[in-house]
Amino acid sequence: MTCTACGTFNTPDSRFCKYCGVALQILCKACGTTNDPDSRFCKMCGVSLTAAAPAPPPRATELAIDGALRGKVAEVVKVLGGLNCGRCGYRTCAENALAIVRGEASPHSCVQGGEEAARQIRAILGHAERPSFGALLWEQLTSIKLAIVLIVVIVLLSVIGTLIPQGKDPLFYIASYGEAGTNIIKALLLDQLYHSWYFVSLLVLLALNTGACAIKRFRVSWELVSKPVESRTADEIAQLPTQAKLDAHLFEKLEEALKRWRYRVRREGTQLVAYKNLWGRLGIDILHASLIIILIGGIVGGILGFEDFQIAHKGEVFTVARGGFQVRVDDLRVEHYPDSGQVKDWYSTLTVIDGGREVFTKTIEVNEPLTYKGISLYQASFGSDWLGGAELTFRVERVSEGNAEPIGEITAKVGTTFPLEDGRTAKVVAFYPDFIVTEDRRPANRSQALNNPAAFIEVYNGDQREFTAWTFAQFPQFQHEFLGENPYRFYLVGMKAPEFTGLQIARNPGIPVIYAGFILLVFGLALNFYLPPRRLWAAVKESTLYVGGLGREPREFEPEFEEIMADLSPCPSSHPQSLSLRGKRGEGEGAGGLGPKEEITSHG
Amino acid sequence: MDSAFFFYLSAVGYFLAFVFYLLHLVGSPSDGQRSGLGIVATSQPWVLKETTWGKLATWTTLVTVLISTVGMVLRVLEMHRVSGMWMLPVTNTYETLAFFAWAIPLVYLLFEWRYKIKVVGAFVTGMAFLFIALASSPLLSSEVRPLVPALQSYWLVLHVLFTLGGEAFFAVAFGAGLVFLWLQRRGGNLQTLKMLDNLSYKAIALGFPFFTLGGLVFGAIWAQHAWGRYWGWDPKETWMLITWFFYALYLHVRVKWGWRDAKTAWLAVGGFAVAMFTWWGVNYLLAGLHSYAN
Repeated sequence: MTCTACGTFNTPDSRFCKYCGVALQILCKACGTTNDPDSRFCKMCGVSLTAAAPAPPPRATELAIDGALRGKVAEVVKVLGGLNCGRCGYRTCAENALAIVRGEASPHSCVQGGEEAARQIRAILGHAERPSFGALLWEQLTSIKLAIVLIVVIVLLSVIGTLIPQGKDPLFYIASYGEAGTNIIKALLLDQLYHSWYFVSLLVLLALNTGACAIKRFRVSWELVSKPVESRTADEIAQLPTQAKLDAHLFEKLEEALKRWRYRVRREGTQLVAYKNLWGRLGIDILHASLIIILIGGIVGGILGFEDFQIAHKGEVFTVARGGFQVRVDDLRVEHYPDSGQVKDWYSTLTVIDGGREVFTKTIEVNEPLTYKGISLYQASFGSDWLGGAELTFRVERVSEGNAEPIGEITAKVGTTFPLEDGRTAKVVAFYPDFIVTEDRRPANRSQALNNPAAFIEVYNGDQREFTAWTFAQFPQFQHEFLGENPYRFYLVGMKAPEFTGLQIARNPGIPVIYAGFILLVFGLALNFYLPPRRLWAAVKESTLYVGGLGREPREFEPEFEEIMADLSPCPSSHPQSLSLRGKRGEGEGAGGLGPKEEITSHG
Repeated sequence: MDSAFFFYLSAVGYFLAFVFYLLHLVGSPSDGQRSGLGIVATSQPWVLKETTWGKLATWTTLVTVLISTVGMVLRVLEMHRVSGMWMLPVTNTYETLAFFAWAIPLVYLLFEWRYKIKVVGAFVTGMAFLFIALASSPLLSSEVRPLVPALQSYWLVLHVLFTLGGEAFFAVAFGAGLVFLWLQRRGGNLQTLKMLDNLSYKAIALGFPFFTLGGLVFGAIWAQHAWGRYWGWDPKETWMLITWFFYALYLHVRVKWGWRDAKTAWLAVGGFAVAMFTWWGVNYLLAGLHSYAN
């Protein structure tokens, strides 16, 4: 019968699903109604549900396998791979193979092998029918394998995006990679990689895959957390991937040990149920749901939000179009540390004006934005507007008979003219904060920063232009070395410019969604890793105590289980294997609990 | 005596601890079951028989962590004196190195106390020594400098604290992974290998939520607060995401394929390398808004 929660095929007499442990529903053979697993009569038609309980299926090593089947079993074992992970519910691949060949287990039972294994096994068994394309597609889309592949591809693409600078001017790429390189970059959208259709598609696909896996998993999760843990018989316990057989007299000791380990223990005669942190199972469901929520928030923000940059001077009023309000810059201020002169912070005092009325005033600084009508203004940068009206100070010298004589200092704005002597005037034509000469011998600015201040002056005698002069703040010797013949020398000794504030204006309606996602993400992670669920069963049969359990996944529980077992038998025997572990090892080849031993050696 | 002095002293301490752990490893007596490291106990064969060197190593590490803590407290006071602000010492390369060199042995001591495994001790103290030695070297200045405007935020503290805290766990997993690979090569005891694999897994599992909270969540919230956008795909943010995906991969391959051997050990090693690249490589090799080096 098929488990309704996870879809695993189970033998008809199983009360619990081999894979996910959920209690199985009993199907009434007469009317087809599903009944609770411990029902004795059908609730709809009253027919008795329980035949005499058949003996549990004998274990593989106890059977004589007839020759025809033996070959098939061997082939199926090869397909399954021999990992003995225990997730099919059988301890070893050999046992699962036998069950498959005998028709007691489904070809799909191997979680590790997945679709591929199922296909091969069906071929070995000679089955004709194939699952529908839809089923195959769904299988692939909801596999962790796809998630792993997607993550690897996204990571590789992301690395490329950090090696090639993003979002720069085409000229930048030509300068760095040449014409040919730039063409490739543009064609593959490598300069806008994170916004390219292929990258976004991968993210969306990952989100869909996560969503599908989350739904699949949540059905099992809900079954496990919402129903009470049922006790199990010794034979059922023996089928668990993590289990041991101990001496029956250790039953009380086990109960005490479990209580010490903070399990909730429920004893029912010779059976025992212990569990803790059952809700921890939902951790993974919550965190995967949160990833999808975060992605949704990102998309919402991307579509409905905006980002703008605004430069403003003191006294200026600018309009925030999307909000329908205006902002007046009342004051700009830079604060420096007293000792070092290093910038401590930038402040802008802003007043919000809506419908002609002043709403409020706030002084913003870095890390301290202003918000109005859902739109925020951030203090992003600060600077002097060197290209927007600098005020320069020159020290002027008059040259007569080879001697230079200072005649004073003058401050003038760029574009203005100031008087010299004898009817001469000097015009401050241009100012370059970061002067360079381009390839075609023209003056230009390499950047907007004050790296190499230079000014260009024209001197007029009446209406006639008499001479011109370049002057460099960092190279005063230029005046007397290269322009020594000029009757006047101009040394650039000071410069000021109106300060501006650089404001990032942004609205992102996705933010609350994303923050909610963050909270759920961390909560889910903490729940999953710090409070892993544990279910443990024990039952006495004849003089043996069967103990077994399930954790987050079969293997994850092992170390704790082994420690609990070690707790019961603190005195090590002279034989290297302690009493408590002998039971597991005695089971034969690679009992689930010690499977990794074989993995480690085989992959050495 | 300023904070730099105590950090320098802690470098000496970690070096001594490193030597003591090495001596503990080679000097442990064996008892019938010899397997490369003289491993003894029966139900817990990864526990070496305790030696004087081993005890000394643990105590030295503990004392050095305390010395480091004194250094950190002094640093907080120094920062306040220079800039008037109360900040935890995580504001520049020197301080974050010192913080990391403090966090890793602290996390390791917790694991040592819980799992009684000391094979990784030499490696961890060696790492801590390298970090604090680098900080104390002429390459970095120990000067307390006031913060640029962008760093004046308690989000900075939260972001760095939780990210490095998580990475301290990853560092222990890194050490366990390396020891695993080395031991496997020389044919070590299988149960020890299993324990090392468990240790790696436990360390990553415990550190991952911290790392997510600090690196992704607090980083995004801080960016939103300071720059008006929580995610800009700049190299630092992108590499942080890559590191996160790497460890997520580690966890997923264990679930999907039950990998528990050399492959996962390599992933634990690789993940830490990626994390270190995110911390160092991005700043000094790539450029961007995040890069304070440029």
